[in-house]
Amino acid sequence: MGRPREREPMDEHDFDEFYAASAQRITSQVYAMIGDRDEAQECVQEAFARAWTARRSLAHVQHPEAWVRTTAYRLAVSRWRRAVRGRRAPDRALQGTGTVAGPSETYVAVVEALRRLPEAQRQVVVLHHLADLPVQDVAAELGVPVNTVKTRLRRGRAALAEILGDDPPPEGGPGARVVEECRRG
Amino acid sequence: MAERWPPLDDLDPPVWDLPPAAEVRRRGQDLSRRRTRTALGAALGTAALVAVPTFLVAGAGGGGTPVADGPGPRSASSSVATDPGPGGPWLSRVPAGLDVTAGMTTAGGRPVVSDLDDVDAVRSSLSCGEAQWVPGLPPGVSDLRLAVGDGARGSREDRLLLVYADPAGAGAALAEVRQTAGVCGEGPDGREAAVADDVRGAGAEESWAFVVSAGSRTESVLAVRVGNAVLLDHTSSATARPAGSVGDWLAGRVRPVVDGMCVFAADPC
Repeated sequence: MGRPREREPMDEHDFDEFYAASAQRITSQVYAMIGDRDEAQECVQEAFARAWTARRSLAHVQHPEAWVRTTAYRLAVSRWRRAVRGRRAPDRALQGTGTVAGPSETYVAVVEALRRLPEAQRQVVVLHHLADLPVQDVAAELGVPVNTVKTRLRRGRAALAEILGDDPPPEGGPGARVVEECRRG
Repeated sequence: MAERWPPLDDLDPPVWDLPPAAEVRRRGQDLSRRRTRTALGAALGTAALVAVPTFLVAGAGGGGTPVADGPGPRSASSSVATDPGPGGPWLSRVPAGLDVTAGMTTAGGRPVVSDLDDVDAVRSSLSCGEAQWVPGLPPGVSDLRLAVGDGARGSREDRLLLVYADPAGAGAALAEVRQTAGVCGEGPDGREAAVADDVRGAGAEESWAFVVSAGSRTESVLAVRVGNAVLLDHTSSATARPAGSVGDWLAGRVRPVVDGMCVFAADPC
């Protein structure tokens, strides 16, 4: 469902299906990677716009969803984007009102904790746990060896547990403090 | 039984208020039109002298991976070379921490950086003489960064960092760059070209500089290879410099990038 046919460029119908099937989860994943809802939404929209522009090339890409996710992430972290973000007017047609249903406290707490991890660990944790990619696919998407992914996953999970504590927030562990910090903004 | 914490695998993601797909397509069409205008402008501006590796687009570096027409197709063959060779497997992506703009001209504003998905921008840079438009991205290249900066008094600097499947592919590409540079230097307008080998101070496994001048303009290219990566730094300015000094001048400017390219070496940093 939603995946464009390989070897044939997407037509409007294909693209709309692809977008409908994947835009929500990609936005959530990029949000988890960068910790900024507005930026995540804008970058994913631009990545999809680029996907439409590059649909002939995208027909040869094995996993278009990974292409969009990677493009969105790169857009978010690129120096160019940070440089121009302050002076470029946003595309109003592409601006939603943000999230329809705000992320749960747990989600916010996890995203906030992810922001405290080194970028490399954050990426593998998000791709493996939130995007449900096997370790091999995470390695392929990031261009690093499988063992490197495993090491980063192990360290990232340990760091998250350290930040969030061993128990869910309602029990009052450090995770609750993260949630509370997020509430206060 | 206690809930596992952190609950990474059971998170309920937010529901986003996203624009309709038709609006996204419209934005894509706008983007395409802007890119076409930019690419045509760049091609016209650099068509006269730029000694640039068109062959990289036409096909270079035998033994490379298939074209990776996007930032990250999830296949093992496009992320890590299957034949590691000495020191392999080779890094197939430009690390986020490698700043290809380090030391670049900033008089005209911050350099603009393009990725593998910015096909049009890369095509506009990969030209020699009249712009040559070809489909697809450089075969054998698994990742790239293109940085374009404007300097004072009409000067311009392009940097292109290309990642190949292995050092053999990168070395072959570099050899073809040099061959093409020679052809580009044989223009009909009285241009003079010179090549300096083994640029001191470049700190690379292979390095050479190419200079071609015509009239008041000087085009300089420094080409370096570290492991399976190639960096091409192209500067266009009104300042005349002999080939020997251009090599050292460019080497000093790109040294921070070349140092960062050690991640592509057989013994990576």
